Amino acid sequence: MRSERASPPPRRALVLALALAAAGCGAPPGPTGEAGAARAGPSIRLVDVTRAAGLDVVQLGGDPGADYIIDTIGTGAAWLDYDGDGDPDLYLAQGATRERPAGPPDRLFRNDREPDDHGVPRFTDVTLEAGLGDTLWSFGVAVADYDNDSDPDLYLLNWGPNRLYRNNGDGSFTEIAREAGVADPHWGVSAAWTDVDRDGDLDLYVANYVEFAFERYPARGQPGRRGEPPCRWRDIEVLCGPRNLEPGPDVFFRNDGDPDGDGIPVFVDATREAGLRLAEESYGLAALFFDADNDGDDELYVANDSLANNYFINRGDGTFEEAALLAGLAFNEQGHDQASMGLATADYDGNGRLDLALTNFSHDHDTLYRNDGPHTFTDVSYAAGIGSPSYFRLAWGNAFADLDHDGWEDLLVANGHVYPQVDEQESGTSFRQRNSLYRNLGDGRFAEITDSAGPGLGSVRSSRALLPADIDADGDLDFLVTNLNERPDLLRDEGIKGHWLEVALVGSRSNRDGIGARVTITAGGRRQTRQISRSASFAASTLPVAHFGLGPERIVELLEIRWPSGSRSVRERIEADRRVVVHEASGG
Amino acid sequence: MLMLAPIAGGADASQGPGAAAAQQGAEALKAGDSAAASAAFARAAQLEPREPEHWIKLGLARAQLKQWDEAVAAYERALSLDPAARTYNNLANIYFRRGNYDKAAAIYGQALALDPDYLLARFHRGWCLRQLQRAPEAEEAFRLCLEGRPQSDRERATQVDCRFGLGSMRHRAGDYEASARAMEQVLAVHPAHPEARYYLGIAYRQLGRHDEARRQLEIHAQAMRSRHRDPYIEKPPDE
Repeated sequence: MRSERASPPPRRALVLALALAAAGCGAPPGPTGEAGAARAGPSIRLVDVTRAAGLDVVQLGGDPGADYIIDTIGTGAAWLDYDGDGDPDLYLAQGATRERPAGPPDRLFRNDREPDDHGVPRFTDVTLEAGLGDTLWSFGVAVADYDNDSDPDLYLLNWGPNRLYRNNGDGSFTEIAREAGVADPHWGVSAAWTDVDRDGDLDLYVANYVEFAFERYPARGQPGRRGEPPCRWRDIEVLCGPRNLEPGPDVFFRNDGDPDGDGIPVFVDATREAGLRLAEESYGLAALFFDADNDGDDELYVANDSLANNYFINRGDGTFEEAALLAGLAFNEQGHDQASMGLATADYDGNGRLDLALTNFSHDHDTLYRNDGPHTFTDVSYAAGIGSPSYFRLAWGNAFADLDHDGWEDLLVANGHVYPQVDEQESGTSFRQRNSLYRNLGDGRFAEITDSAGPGLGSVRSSRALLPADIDADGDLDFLVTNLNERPDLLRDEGIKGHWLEVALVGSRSNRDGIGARVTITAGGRRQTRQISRSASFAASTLPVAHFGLGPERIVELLEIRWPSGSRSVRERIEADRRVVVHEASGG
Repeated sequence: MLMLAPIAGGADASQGPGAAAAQQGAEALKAGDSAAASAAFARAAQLEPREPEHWIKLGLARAQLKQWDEAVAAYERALSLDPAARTYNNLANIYFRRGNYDKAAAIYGQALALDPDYLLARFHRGWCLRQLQRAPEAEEAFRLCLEGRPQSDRERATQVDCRFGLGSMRHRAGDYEASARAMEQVLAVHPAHPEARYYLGIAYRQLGRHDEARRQLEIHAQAMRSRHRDPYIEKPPDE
């Protein structure tokens, strides 16, 4: 066993103690869930605290009439601790419109630590002082500490050149995309970071959507250049695309570090070299790295709109092989390609293998692929109870998270249609939709519990990104949901919980955040597995922290970490209800 | 591929006061003008409210217009006059399309109570039960369909669909031998059946027949790639 240390961050312990004191409880480590669980059992109660938190800002996603495909994708967001004070801050991307291509600036909100009387933290707009505020038409946000200097940097996906904002470590950022070689000019929506070649720094995959220009395509209701009739969907006149629009080529940037020592990293387009250039490009909307075969390196899954999805097996030498078809991951159970939007991974059935959940267009089901190993997946959407309820919804961001702390990861999904015109006639769906929560029953099935999970899931909007984070340091996960042309929803979980544990990593030989590390705990005789990632499904990022629900267990008997470098860390008998920070041994 | 085909029946046999309007409706339906058909059959039904065929055709036209509630009302009116199996089938189709599989399955059951040899309703009911994860009942429905005696090419095609449905249920149950056998039989009759090709490929994979699996899956993928493309957008010219 290598040396390591573990400690709860001071600020977190303080907040926990204050919360307990306010609740009339005794000394720590009594968690919010301990007394409550004994009283009433665990519950989920998501409450919209957006206004109370000071996040009452509209995210512009495009023209509300949705005349063009670019008006429909919406904007993402990211949780990141940009100032290193231990709590999640929030970055909100902003879009634009055809008439105003320089849109409102993206915003950075600092979590001000001090909660109000109801425990809701306040957020303050610090965009200007941080040197941020990109006005290009932004979509996704992909956060990573690409330079391993202990602070998170920002990669912004735009229609137009993407941005890379280096965190200067003093609360400000500097834009260096062009110098670093990652100012990709295509229309990017999502990106994912991991250490593909296991050299200790993070590489970047960018999912590009379509090559779009207003003047090249007819607006909704307009004929094509050759007099083709306007585009329709289920007898409704709608915007055109993406089929037969030219796909945007995805790009893989290998991080070659900072050989000059000038603070500017060198990223090299290694798409072809890595085996990630396909014969036919597709309409990428989301990308996710995850270790599907548990061999210590990450596979790559790319969710495409309207065409087959891609699954790239990591050969272990920094190159990949596309294998979606035989893996059963290109199409759904019936062999249909789906219009996929969001991606999430979790070991939902507790067998140690990471499974995959996709969100899709309306009049098609969301997809749950069970990992039957090695590189063999089975679409179990209907058997697992996800298929039928999702059929008429159009879903985007999704997240596995153990909301009720019972040791099984539940599934939360953000929904909303792309066509406002669907409301003009009965089609089984609607433009604004409720988001969905499925409770993991622990036997391979899920049950939808949207109606009983608190008023926060009652709002009806056209939602897009969905990203979890514990905003108030109470040990349960809260969620930010972005909404097309509306303010986001900050959903704070005020339910009563069982015990919990969070694990954050500090790499030395591995990348600093431990992205790609596998974290496994044993508590109450059960093993639970997570992979450290900042990816948050669709167009979003979150904190690189593994969150575990423990139910009645007060002790985690065993915590095992397999680092991307291949080294291992093990700890025994950890008390519940705290965040543990594990440092990778620096030796060989 | 599930085709929810409403049964339109033959030509409207009415010779009463609604006959002319019904004729206009039939011509409009044939021309693909559902709105005109709906208006014409509504007139026919108003003139001859006790003629179930007018209400059936009205339901059909309204369903094509996705006026679901109005279509349901028309079919229910027809059923109150003449509880025919095909009308139950059409009514159930509407609930199926709207995702109400429970109700659809029950109404297909009413059609089968009237006509146990009604293979199309048998298949539709099986598919509803499949969607509802009621696996044993779904398999039973597909088996009964396969035991029927087809009287027409259409019913023979329905039996192929039932074989596909049964194979897909065996697939979900992890019985890949049975799934592969069923899909091979489907493809023998309908080589372009895309879903059967995919199920067969995955079944072969599960059975360790990787080369055959790859071959089937690649045929399927090629078929998917050459599927429809929206005709109204041209590839942007190079600039």
